[in-house]
Amino acid sequence: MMGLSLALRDVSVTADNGRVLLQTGDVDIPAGQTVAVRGPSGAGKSTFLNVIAGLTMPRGGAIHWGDTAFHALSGAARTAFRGQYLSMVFQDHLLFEELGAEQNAAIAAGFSPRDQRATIRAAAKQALMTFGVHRDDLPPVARMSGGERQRVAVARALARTPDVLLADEPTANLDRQTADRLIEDLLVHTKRHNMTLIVVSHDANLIMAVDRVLGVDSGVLRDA
Amino acid sequence: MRDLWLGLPVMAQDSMILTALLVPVAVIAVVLLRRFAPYVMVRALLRRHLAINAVFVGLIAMSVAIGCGLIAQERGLRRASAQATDKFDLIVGAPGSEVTLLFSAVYLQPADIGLVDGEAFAEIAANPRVALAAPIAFGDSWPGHPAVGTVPELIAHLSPQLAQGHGFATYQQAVIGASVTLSLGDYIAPAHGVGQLAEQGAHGGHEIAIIGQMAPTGTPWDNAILMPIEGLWQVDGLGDGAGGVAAPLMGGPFDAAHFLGATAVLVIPTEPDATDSLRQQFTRDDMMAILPGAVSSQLHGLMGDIRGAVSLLTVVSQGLVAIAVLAGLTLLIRLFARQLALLHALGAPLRFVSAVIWSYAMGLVLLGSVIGLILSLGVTSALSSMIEIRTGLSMTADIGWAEIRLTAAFILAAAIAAVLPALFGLRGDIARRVRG
Repeated sequence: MMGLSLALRDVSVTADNGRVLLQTGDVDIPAGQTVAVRGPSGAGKSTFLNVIAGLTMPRGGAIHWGDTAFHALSGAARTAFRGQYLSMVFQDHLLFEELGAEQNAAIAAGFSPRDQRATIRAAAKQALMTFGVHRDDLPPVARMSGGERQRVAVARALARTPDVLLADEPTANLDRQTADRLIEDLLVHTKRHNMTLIVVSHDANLIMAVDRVLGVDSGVLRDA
Repeated sequence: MRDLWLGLPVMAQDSMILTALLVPVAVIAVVLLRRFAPYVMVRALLRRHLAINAVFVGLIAMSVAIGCGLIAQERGLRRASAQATDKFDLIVGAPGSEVTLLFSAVYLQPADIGLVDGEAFAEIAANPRVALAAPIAFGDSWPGHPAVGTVPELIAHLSPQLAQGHGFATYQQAVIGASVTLSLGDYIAPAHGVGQLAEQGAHGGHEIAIIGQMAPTGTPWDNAILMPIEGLWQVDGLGDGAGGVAAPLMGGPFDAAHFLGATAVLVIPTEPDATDSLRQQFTRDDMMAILPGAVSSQLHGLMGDIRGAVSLLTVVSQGLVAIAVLAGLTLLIRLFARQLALLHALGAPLRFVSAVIWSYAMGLVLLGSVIGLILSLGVTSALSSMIEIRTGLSMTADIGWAEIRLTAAFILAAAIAAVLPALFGLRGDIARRVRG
């Protein structure tokens, strides 16, 4: 796995009422780079993450992941691309409440080819162990603490060993010690697998640890 | 092609129709589920709104149970009435309504009809093509049971072997049907009339001993108390049919002048082919002959229109329930919209998300259908025993091909419809749907 580069050419996102939510200008992120995006609340950080993940459609501009013109793909092709190359960690975890940690982390096994399912389950288990949320006495995720849930969400994103990891505030809701351990695990993991990491965060420790920092202010993205 | 189809055994036709209904379900399943393992997610959805899911399963089960129960009941009723007329080849009565004669002689329903007199009976009995002419006289009852006056040959015809005891030897003895809850050796005093009009004590002093019981016949006659027709005449103060001559023979031959009248005469011909010509022969100004089986099917034919309307109503209500279930399902899927959008955001293809929704919906539908089929057995046996108590008809409750076909058609409709919410429920901005 080699990671994927990201090239943004003047990508813009507008709200239904026409207000500009995001204006990226030209941004290039090489494969394997770790990038933090920071900015005030409501400045457009999550919109940025959603648009490069293909969850929100841009109004204009071009998004290239590696050689793929991502903005030009059909909905189904975008989903397939996401399934193959991108993984996401959402701000509020978004776990399947009725399932256990291991089933949540290995959720992708359900829609992956049969020969990959065992690998995904093993990787999920490994990631849960790394993050200290793999024990027999763990309750279903609905009754886990915020920190435990966040780590399950990260384990889910890593279980498929993606080329790109997109994370929205992964250390929010964590105590300092857990947050620092997560930052370290995340960076070790992404560097070892040469993943491209793009993370939206307010966390100063995380921002300090990455290769590059981008800032979003009033929807405008630029190097910080 | 049509001839080929009609030439197939019924069993083969039924299995082919069932296969034709279920194959599309299997095709949808294969198309949606191929190379996926959605079961973990399906279990999660089933667990998430357990109470709502249970209500849905209950709704489906009730609709299947009522639909199948009605069909099974209607078939059971037809079968039971065919069985009830089975032993009554030809009935001769006074001219009047064929249906009234049928209800009276076969179903033992009280009716005000004329009597067959001695001369007419003697003529019937003397006909060389008549193997048995058994007079039947109604009018008396013992609470809940009609007391029927007849001859020993009729008992032998209805129940060749008695379940217990023996046939009557004197006018003060009676043989009871299989469902009558009296014991051998009991004494009863029949009342004149039937039901609420019965005059208790009108026959004061005439006590009848129960000395035998017939084997079950599956007809309203299981509910009857059979006594010598001469005994019934005596009870009613009419004499004994022998004109006062000492020690008359039990069951005739009757002296035409002293034959005190019978409500109906059961005629068994010497050979089956003779039935229709006997019917024509005995249908004239002073008497009327009916084939109970034919009158019964005429009645069913007449009621066929009503049956058609009921079937249509069943199908319409089944359809309405199906629509209600699907509308509900669409709402349920709204409840799951966030989870489904999340799957999409995690890279699950649309087909996988559809497979999850479809498997979930089909889980509810299949479970509800199976419970419904089992419940319909309960519904039919409850209705059957109600009808049995009221009419004495022996009804058997079972699940036949018609019910299985109806259920399979419902499952097929649901399987097709359950694909639709997946198509409509998964549009729009994923990020917005994930936020819920």
